[in-house]
Amino acid sequence: MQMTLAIYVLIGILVALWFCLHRINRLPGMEVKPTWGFRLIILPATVLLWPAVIFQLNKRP
Amino acid sequence: MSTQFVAVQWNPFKKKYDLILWLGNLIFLSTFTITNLILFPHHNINTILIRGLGLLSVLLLHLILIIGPLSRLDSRFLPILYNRRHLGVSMFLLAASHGLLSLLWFHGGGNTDLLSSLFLSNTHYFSLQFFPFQTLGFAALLILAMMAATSHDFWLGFLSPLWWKAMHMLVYLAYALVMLHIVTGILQFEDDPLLICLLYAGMIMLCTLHIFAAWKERKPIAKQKDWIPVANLDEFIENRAKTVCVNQRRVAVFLYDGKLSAVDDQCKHQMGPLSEGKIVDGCITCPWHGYQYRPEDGRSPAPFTEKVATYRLALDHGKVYIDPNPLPEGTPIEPLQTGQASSVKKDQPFFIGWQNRTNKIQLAFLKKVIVTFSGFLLLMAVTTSLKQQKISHFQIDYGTVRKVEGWLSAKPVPMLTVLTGKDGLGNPVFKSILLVDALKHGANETVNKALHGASSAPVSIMGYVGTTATPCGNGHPEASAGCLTTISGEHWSPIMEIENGVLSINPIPAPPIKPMESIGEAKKQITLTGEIIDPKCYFGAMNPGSGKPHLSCAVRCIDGGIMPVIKFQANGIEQFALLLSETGTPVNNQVLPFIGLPVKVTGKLSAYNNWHILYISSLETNPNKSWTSSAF
Repeated sequence: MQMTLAIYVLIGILVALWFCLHRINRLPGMEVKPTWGFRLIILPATVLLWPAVIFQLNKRP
Repeated sequence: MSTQFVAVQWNPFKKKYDLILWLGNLIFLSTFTITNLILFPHHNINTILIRGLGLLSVLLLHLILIIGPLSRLDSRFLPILYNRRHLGVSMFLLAASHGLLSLLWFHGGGNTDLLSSLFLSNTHYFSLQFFPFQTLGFAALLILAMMAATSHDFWLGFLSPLWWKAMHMLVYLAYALVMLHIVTGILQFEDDPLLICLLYAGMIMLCTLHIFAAWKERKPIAKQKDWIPVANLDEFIENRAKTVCVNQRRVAVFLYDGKLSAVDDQCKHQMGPLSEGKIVDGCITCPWHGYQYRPEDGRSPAPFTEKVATYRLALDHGKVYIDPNPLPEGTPIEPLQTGQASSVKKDQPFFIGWQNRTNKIQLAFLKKVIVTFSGFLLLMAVTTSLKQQKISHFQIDYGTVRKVEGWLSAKPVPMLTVLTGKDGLGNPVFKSILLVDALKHGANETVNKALHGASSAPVSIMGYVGTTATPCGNGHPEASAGCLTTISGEHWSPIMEIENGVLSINPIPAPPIKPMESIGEAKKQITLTGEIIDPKCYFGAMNPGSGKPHLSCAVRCIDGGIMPVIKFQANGIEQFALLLSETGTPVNNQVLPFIGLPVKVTGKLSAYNNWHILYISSLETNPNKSWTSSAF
């Protein structure tokens, strides 16, 4: 059980790093680069909800 | 409202809000901890923190959930609503600390991982009374974690307002789970009527306020096609709105500068009620977080992009009418000229969080609310402390490593038999201290290694014992095994944790007197009713060390090799008996499903120094749920 959770969180961390450091700059409304504090604060939710993040990104053009 | 995403959009009001909130939290936790330490010096600090953090989280959760309907019923509460997000995140951090401490304390250190222990230690999923209540708390914590993590406007836009709002509405599910967590958990142990009444009072207050607020917002169900009346023109207040329900949508009709405009009532930010807002600097301003829209086209001023639907209005004989068909969001529409200067009526103060000014009337009201709520928190901290049960006589003193000399034996269970004095006839009195390893592990292997195949040996052991300042025989469960006074006059619980495994057991020259090794002859068959406990926790490693809150931990301890003991009442005195099979082998695996439940155990009773030993022939749950034994 703990192993399953660890795998989920590990994937979440990888997705979160990619999203918060790189992909977020290309989102609409991010013409002015977000602050590092902002990137840090959205990190936990990205780790927790990474399937929803990927789903939302796929929906966007 | 800035164009660059930042971590927190701080403003002076938010800083004051957070300062007061965390000061309040610290004062509550300090009061609760100090009161507990004074009233119950043998309660473990972890237990006190777990309880304090849990209680504070529940109180804040109630505040978070009532502040919405309260603000709808009385706008003076709006400043508290303004920064509810920080209130929610703070509550989550407190609840997470409660959860983490509980997880490590009750499920850590055993022979399985934390999550498996959480879900599989207590498997009474089909029993309301013995339901594994910690799983309910865990589920609630997951929801709260999801909400706290997405408490940023970025997620509102990224996940879409509909999904975001739906996710955050799960707070009501989390609340229900928390209530069940309490009812099936701590209230199965702490059964003081006042605690139960307080919990139900909170639930009733919450439901009542939501019903009142919903009643205020009720909407007509019938589909409307024709123009419908809003209000007489003279009923409007300058810069404020009248609300009308059209086709199940609330519409806010604002009067400003002799003009009327109508927009959809729901703010795009967090669906706040625009009709309860005000025209500030020419824009409709949401009362919740100060988001703004132009009344003539329902659009937020540049560079913002939020927009709401607009509606057509008409004036006939001093009465204002509205077309029930909404125009697409952000559609410009010429405001309705009223042709007369608007009447200025007495207006209530309006709060905008990001403006660095608070109305004096609002400030006075806020102060009253803060003082009242702080007083309530302190009262709760003291009351709940006072109403707790005394949950332990002993606490294992982990601050002092003690060297104890005696006769080590592995049978019937790992124990050290020590000389505690002489009886009235001058005969030596021996008492046996049960030996356990660190965390949730038994000491069978350690003791067998130290004995090298011998049945017993004189040794000195370095370890930790449970101590108490109160003499044995003065309210302690001393009758059979529960308390022993050493030759040096200390009062100990009959359990010892070996400090460093086999390395802390050292042979010594044999003491002058050797205790009798044989176990007393088993008497006739006897039935005992009581609860199976793990003696390490019960005698000071953990408190509470019995009952529902401790059930999973006891399962882990006994599964880890600590000898099971039945706690029972005989002649009004709490007594204890070690449980073994009829052949004298451990019964740890057999008793696992019965731990923490009222049980009926039948077997032959024997004695070994201060301990009873029950060689069990049958074990079942006790249908009468009685905790006393009539047979003994």
